[in-house]
Amino acid sequence: MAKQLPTSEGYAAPFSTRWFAELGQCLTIMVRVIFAVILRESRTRYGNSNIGYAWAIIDPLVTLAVFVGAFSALGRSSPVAAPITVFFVTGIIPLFFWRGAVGQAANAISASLGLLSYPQVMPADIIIARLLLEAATTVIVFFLFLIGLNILIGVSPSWFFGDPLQLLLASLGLFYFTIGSAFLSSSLARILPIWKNIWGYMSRPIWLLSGLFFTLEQLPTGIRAYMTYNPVAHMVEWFRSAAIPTFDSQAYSIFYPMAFATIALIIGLVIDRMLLLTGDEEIVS
Amino acid sequence: MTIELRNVTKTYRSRRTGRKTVLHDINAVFERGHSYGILGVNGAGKSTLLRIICGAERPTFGEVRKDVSISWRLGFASSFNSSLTGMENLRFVCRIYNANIQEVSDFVEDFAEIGNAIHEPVRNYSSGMRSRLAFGLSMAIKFQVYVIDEALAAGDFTFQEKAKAEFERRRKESDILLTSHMPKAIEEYCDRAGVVHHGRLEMFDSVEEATDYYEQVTRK
Repeated sequence: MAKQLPTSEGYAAPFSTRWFAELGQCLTIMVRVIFAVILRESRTRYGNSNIGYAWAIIDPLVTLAVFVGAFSALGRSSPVAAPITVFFVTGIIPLFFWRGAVGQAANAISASLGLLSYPQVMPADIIIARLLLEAATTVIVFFLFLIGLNILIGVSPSWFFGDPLQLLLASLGLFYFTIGSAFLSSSLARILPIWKNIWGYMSRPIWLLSGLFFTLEQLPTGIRAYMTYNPVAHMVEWFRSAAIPTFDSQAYSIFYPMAFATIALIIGLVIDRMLLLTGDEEIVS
Repeated sequence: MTIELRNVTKTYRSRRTGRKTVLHDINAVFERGHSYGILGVNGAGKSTLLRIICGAERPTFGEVRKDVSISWRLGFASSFNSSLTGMENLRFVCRIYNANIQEVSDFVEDFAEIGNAIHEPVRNYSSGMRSRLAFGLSMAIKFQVYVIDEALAAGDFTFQEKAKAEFERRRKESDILLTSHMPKAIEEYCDRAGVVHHGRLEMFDSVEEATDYYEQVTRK
């Protein structure tokens, strides 16, 4: 017999034995569903393209080539005391992860309505699965870049691990920031279908304004004041400071992007819960 | 008690047509050991009722209490991803229901009779193959209640016979919840029935009573 799902038979008092048992049961189901969705998404995500997963590496590689090419053509040097490829890779990796995850989250629910008809599959499971898949892809791409740069142009991998503990913290911070952004993006897409188009227009400029080809620190104070409103720029600056041994920016805040992520996460989860309680997927469409 | 609906109301909102209440304040109990048929004309709210019972949708008001495992809605529409193969879809369903993939695929290969096509993307399937796969899969996972939308129209005559035989064998452990707009289909499988009319559900202890009521309300 298929395992019975938790029933709505009464409510257990919080922190009672039964409450913990039910929580455990729900978490087990959630882990199982997320695992299944990850395996499924990894097959469908690049399903329409023949080169498949290769695209995940080609896309950032082309970006890297374009920016390195543009910088050498303009005769500009690296804004940090590190090889120019290191500077761009440490910007491209967090930005691709963030942008990819937010875009994936915007489409997550409308692309998975079939899945959601299974009662144990919840919208949050699909978003978390997509985030984890995106994160795993990013880590793989990062290491491929490291190996590739080392072999091809002899950039030592140590350029990317200036402060391993800080890098770990910055990566976890980036993951949390992306969770918040992704939940907000997915909820916006569910109540405002036009969000997907807005995001399509917004994602490129945001991306360029977030420190892909500059650091907050090198900006004049006047412009910097405006640029620091963008939480993504703080994340990139933090990531770079942690990764590049010779770069330690004083121009970023950790509190600001973390607060942004927390507020985004709360708004995203509240909208998700409201849609679940009303049982009404298309509130305004 | 198996499945209990309490004051279930379902309202859909649409920008073009405004609010539409599909189900009005439904109270009903589906008991274990009985198979139920739900009669209703097209658009009466049968499918919405089944989606709420399966847990695919939540009611706007009211609640559904259940203490049995309920299958997904079997019928024409399937939740399979059409770019994945039948086997990949099968694995996904096994994973979310915590079923043994090997046992289930053995059963489905034998029961659904789609042969090597199970390794083809589902988009290449005929609708009969699709519903045979969905049907075989739900049989392999073994639910206590099978929810079937619009009769057992899946597959050809031989397959229907096979499905019927399988349900007959499962009588003791599994019940059926079947919708149809044809009373005849319901008489074949069910011993109790209800009628959905204008978003309200009327339950009867026998299929004959339900059929009489159904004919009475639809003749008008």
